[in-house]
Amino acid sequence: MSTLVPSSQEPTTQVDKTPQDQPKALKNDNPSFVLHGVDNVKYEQRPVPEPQADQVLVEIAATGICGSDVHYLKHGSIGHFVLKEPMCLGHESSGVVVKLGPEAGRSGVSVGMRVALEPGVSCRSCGLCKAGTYELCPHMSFAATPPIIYGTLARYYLLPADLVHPIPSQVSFEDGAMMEPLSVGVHSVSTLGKCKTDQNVIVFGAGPVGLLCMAVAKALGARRVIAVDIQKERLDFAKSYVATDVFMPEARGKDEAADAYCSRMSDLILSSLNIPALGPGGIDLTIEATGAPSCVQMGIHVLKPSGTYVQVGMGSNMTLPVPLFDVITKQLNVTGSFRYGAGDYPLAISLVERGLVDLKPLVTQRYDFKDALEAFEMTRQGKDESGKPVIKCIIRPPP
Amino acid sequence: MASGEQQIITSDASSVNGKTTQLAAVCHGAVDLRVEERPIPAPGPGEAQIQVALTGLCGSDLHYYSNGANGIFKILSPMVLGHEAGGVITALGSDLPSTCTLKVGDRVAMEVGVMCKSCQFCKKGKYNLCTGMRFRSSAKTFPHLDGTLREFMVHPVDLLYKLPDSATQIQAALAEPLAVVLHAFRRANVQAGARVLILGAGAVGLLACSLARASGCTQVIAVDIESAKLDFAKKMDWATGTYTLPKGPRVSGAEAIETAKSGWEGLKADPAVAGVEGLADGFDVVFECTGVESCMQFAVMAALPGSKVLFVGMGTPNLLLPTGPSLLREVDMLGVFRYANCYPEALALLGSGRLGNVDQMVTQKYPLSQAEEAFQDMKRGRDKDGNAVIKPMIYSSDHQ
Repeated sequence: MSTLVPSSQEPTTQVDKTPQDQPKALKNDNPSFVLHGVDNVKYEQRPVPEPQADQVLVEIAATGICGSDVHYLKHGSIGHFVLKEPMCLGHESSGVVVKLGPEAGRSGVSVGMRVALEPGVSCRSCGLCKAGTYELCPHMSFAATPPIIYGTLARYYLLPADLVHPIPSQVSFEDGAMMEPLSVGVHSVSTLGKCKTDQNVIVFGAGPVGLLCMAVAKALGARRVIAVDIQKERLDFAKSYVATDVFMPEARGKDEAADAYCSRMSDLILSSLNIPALGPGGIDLTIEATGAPSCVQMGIHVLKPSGTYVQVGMGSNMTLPVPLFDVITKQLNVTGSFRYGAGDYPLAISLVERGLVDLKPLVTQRYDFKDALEAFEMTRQGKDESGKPVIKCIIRPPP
Repeated sequence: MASGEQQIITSDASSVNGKTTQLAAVCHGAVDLRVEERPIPAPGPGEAQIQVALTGLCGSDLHYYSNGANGIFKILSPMVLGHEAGGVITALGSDLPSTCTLKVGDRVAMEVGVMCKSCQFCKKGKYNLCTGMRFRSSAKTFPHLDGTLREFMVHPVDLLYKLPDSATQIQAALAEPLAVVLHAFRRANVQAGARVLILGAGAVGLLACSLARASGCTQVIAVDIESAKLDFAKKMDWATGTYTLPKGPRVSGAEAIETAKSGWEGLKADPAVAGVEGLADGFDVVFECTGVESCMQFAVMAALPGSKVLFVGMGTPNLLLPTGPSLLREVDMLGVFRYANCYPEALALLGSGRLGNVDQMVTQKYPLSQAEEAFQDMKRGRDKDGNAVIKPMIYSSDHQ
């Protein structure tokens, strides 16, 4: 006769694993928002990618849309980046790490971690990468940029472990999605612009990039952050957000030459806002976030001697006149700013985490994944039905 | 067998021209260097297999040979020495990066520090400070990564630099110490017209003299305890002046400061400095290439106010710093640890001829089978013919 063993002493067949050891149950589909050509997007199922080596798999939580995404939709290309095969859109995202590749463990990234995605994978082998300017890598694989066919408007996305940046709980997923454009702001204002406490900064363009640049300047302790735009609504928003001063250039006179107009507006900026041309109180840093020829000129004219000019905005025509006389006689530092590099994401996250930058006012519209195209259209229009500026549209992930 | 590389099982071992084993100079402990048989490694993904040509030897190799350790880094398992080398590519692995244009048969210089590429230091371009760095022939990390004193090895292709046809394997081997010097020069931001002092006329100090001349420095004063090394610097026209420091016992702390003071007084009084207007006020840049405490202190005393001292030489774990001459005169002191992004420029400099005939620095050449003799001569500072040892090299194969 067998002895009955009390159930509490029976060997358990359950194996308890801590949540960290157990990969989150993955859904077996990966709905993706794919661009096939100009104004031609389709929702498709793509395979769920498998993390290799030091990669991690992220389940997307939120995605922002930017002008470049809209441009690919409307034109199929940006400069020499030309769409040649179907490409999933989206590159401004946050999410949760759901799976680690075999060599991703020692990076400090773990399953369940909430992260902001840095969507550019550089080669790490060329001279530019080794020298610390990986943003300039000629072999960069950037999400939703041809020839790469992957983007973050999907359920899942793969990245090397060191390109997913942890975000603490007080940083929301929407904030996390905005770390990408915020890092552009950090790169322009801090890394290249070297903005310091108590400096005076002028930002041309009160669109999303300009506003984020203003926010970074303010967070770094700038005394004055002057916003310039031709749309009153955008300036009103900038003033309500972070700008200490705003300026709206008047229209150019009918027979007024471009150079004369720009000089006149530059003088008006200084006089109307009580800014000296040099010395304390003068403008230390210009962030040009429009690409508009007149703003390029004004941005150089208003700078004090030894000031810094950062070109981050890309306009439709990128070959335009630059007032080199000022550049020479004031010995200005003129630099271009491209995406973001070493240290930019960590600083962006730190600024938001500490409350020095508030991203919430910048999210003006939200859409479900199935309505993603509306987000593109709204971003393209630039203002909503009531005329309020569209700053950042966030798209929710597939359900 | 416990090298840091993939263990090669005999059946998977690479063979080159029918050979499946090779010779390697392996350090087992203090004064226990054995030239022994090892398998030939096959290149993995992203790697090339290289037939090593020449390996230059330096002080750190000598420390491992003499003590089985370099300062606090002890050899924990037998390790192949050597890190200043070049060779010829004999095979390429799979999955090479898109940047790679190397081919079998290419002659290459090897940058032997394998960085992680993903830490904050790698990302900002300072990969010499990489937290996951594995440097061949250094016992700092374990498992140790074997060095270059063998016939065949494998290495990541993006750390190999193709030699132009006109470049020699000697230049490939000298690129390593020159990279250290170049890194120091970049950190020093040496301006043309600068007046520099170089303490220590070993291989690094001599290359510093040469680079200083090539960089447009108008005064290059070399100091050492050995006149023979200074004579070499003069012969090569790398130093505009030299000064032989009196030999003395190795002292530390406050005693070393006294030695430093008398060293600087002695140099100031010497025609090499006294004969040059204003030079007794101090130098624009001082390169400290000995690692000796009293010389490190001498270096700050000899620097002009507001100038820079580069501490290149190693050997003093704790330094007593006289703050009057250094901090209170705003003499900036910068550490130098290996190099980053220097190999291409180092090779270009060597190939340009602007450094002069650096090949003459190679004072001895030994076959791999006689590695022991090379280290013994280096220890003595003289070879069996009584010649000074400046840069000894070991050859692993026939080469140009």
